[in-house]
Amino acid sequence: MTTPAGERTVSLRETGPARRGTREDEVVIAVSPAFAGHFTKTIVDVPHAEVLRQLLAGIEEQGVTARVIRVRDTADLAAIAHLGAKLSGSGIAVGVLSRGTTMLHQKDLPRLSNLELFPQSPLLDAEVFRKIGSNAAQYAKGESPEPVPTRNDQMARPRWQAKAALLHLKEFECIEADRGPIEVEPAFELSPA
Amino acid sequence: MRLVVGVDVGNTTTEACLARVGPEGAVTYLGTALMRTTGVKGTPENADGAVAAVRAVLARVGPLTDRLHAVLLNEATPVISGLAMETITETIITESTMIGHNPATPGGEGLGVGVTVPIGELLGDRRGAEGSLIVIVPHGWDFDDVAATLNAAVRDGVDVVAAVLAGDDAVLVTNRLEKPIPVVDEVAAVEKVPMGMLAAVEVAPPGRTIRTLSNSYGLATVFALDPAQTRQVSPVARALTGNRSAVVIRTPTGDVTDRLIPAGVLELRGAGKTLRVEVDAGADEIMATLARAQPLDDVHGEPGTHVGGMLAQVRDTMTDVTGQPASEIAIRDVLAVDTIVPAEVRGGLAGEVALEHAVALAAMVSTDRSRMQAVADRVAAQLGSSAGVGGVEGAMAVRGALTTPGVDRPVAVIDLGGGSTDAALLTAAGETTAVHVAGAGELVTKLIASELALDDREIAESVKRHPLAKV
Repeated sequence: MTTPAGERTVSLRETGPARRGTREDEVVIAVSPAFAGHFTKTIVDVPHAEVLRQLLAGIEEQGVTARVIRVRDTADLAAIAHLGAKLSGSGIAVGVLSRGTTMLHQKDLPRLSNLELFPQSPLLDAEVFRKIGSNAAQYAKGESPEPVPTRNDQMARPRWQAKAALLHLKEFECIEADRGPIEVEPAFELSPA
Repeated sequence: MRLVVGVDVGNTTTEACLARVGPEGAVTYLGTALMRTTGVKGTPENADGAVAAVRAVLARVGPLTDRLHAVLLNEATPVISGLAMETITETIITESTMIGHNPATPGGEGLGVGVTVPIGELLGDRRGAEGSLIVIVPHGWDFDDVAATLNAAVRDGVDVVAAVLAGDDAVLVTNRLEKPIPVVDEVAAVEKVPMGMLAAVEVAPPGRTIRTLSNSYGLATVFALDPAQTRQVSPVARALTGNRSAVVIRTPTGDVTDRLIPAGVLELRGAGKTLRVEVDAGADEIMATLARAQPLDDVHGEPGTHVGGMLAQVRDTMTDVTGQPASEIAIRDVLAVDTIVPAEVRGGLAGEVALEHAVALAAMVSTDRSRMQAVADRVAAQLGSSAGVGGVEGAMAVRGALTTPGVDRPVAVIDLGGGSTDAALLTAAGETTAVHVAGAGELVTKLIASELALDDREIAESVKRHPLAKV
């Protein structure tokens, strides 16, 4: 039996400059400059709508609230995730690049460190994004969840490196150097199959 | 002035105690150090641990003008203890009678009683079922679609009272429902839930446990049972006690039962007789049989069972250590303790866990050969001082006890060690007798680890050493 639905799409409505959150039970999802904008799906065609929906669902299932921001002045995942963490009321953020690469960060960690890193974007699917969201929420609640099992495929690098490089170049072109992070509100829409 | 170190090699730890001995035999205590015992107690491998302990105590006391004169070791009784744990009960669920696991995040709260129906039958024109319904959602359904389907059905007058989900979606679904219902999620084998059966779903508020389904009379009320049937469902109620959520399904021949698992026979020889006892009879029965076979000559386990394997392993270790053939090694004491271990329930739909009964066994082997002189020789070579075997443990313990002000003969000393418990008695006439019995600190650590389902021995050890409450 399959889900009786068509494709979902998402648009990110900008609502103003991103500020530091005051709720201790919130997780910030920080997306890259071209996420759900210039690009609409990851390197393996997971729709950005699904990435965001599953991250939000994982957080909500744990009873934690979420806020989405777009980082505009860098395409560096560590910088995006760490900035998100510094703006998060709980100090926990999920950083996501357009091609799918994802990181869990905490504001008191060094920028080039992280809580969990999912470096092989071609191996991330909806199920993994749900678990990442769930873990982010559990860190925000002060728990110590089991890290999301990372898959590994030694063929991922030779197979996907060229495409990843092109996607990164494109993302890089979308950088708006002197503009700060902005708060966005995701609006999901269901288009009939 | 002479510096003397006394070393006590135990099953688990090696302790060194430094003292200055004056010209007239006056003893000044300087310090102690504790190290983990290297190798099996009473074997030459102990030397490394002993040397480390001696160096540690010297370092702790600080620079000394005198040279280390002598190291005195205990005459370690070669006692090897082995531990084994055997589960003797199991809980079996037949015909998917209940789902009693504890998902971290169930949704909604309250009790819903109705007939199980797959979510597919709520779509559009496929609706056939009437009355109160409990919706079963298989894998692959998105939470938004589940919520939309349920909302649409409720709007059309279908009486949906509860839902059971395969994925971890309960909170997501309940947050999107117009009419709140209890939702249990993470039911891995959801496809085994029988359809068209009367069932009940209960979810308690956060921090509470379910009330109705964990009570036999609550179940009787829900399913309109007569007294005989109520007695039958009591294992279901018991298995669900303490959960935040549960599902009970009334199937014609479904049942939850406890069963005894045969765990092997223990054969005790002593006092001229051979007694046999089933391990699944429990610790009390084993210890009662043991008491009738005192003094014990040897113990054997039924080959091919856990208890047989465990006793064989103790013998193997002893053979490796002493070089004596396995046939000459005799187990001189065993201690059995009843315990509980969490185990997965057979026939469960969501990886339910039940507390099962188990028996833990500690066994102890004595040999006639002690090899402490070999340890002493190695220690002497490494430290460049003289080293010798100072005396038998029991006798040393008693003499140590006598240094306590106000203590006089007769005196008894009980030494609760890691692998064995030793007792020594010094009579008024000056005779010392000592006994060793199986079962000590290591067994306690193992019991803590299994009852709390800890994988880490160090955590269990810490739990033992830092009790939250004392009786």
